[in-house]
Amino acid sequence: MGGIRKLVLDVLKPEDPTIIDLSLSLLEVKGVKTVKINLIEIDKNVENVKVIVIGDDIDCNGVFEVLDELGCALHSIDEVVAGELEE
Amino acid sequence: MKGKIKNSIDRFWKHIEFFEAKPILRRYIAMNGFDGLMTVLGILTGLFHLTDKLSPTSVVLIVYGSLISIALSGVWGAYIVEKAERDKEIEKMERSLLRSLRGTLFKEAEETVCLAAALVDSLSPVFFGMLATIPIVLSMAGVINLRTAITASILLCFALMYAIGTFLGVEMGKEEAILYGLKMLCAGAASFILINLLGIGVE
Repeated sequence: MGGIRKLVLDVLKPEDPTIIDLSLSLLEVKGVKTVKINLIEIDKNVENVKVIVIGDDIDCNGVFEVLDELGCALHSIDEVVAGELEE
Repeated sequence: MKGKIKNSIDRFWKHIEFFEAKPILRRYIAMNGFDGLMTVLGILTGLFHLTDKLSPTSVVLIVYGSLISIALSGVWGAYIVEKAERDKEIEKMERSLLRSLRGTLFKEAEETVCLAAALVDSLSPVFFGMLATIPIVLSMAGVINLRTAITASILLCFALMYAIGTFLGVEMGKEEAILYGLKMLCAGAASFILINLLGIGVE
């Protein structure tokens, strides 16, 4: 399978939902197989996180929609891998 | 159809958990159920002194009329208070995130929690009030006389107040749930004594 295989996103999220809820919601998006979220910084009521989404032919719009629905602000797309995943 | 209903129920609980609103709903059930019972107890204790001049239908009308007013006041009051409270929280979050939360889970959950609070706040006193007045309805059907019915309803009010107190105690994981029930009962007893004194004075 080709398409988008990895996305690294810089996201500012509310403290609720937690990163556990966020990762489980992202797993429901078409093509997503693995979600990794690293907490970068905690501020008042919000958290800055790095979201790594790995899968086959990831539905990017689906990922952005989930982030938007959960009240997250997408700061930047830091890395994208399309085609074969690098070893 | 079954799947849709299950989805709606799951979404409802997701929204309630999102705002951690379960304790708020529990408080509304107990607080307003107690309010409803106190109102019914007050009316029935007062009317007990006028039993000879009243019919069961007039007692039912007076009690249910009050319950309808409490229910309507509950819908408006709880919705407006909850909405204002949640709006404040959401605005704070919007300022932190530098984005609008319109169309997100926050706004959806806010609406669900406000509506649930309004419904619980209005239905709880009606539910408990109606339970307590079952004997009056029986008296309307001619099963028992009005005096016995009012006495039974007053006793039911006390029993339900005790039950609400115990429910609160158990829900809070308190070992002294019985004590919570007795505290509720004390408030009812105080109201019963005061209204009876008033009734005796008027007579």
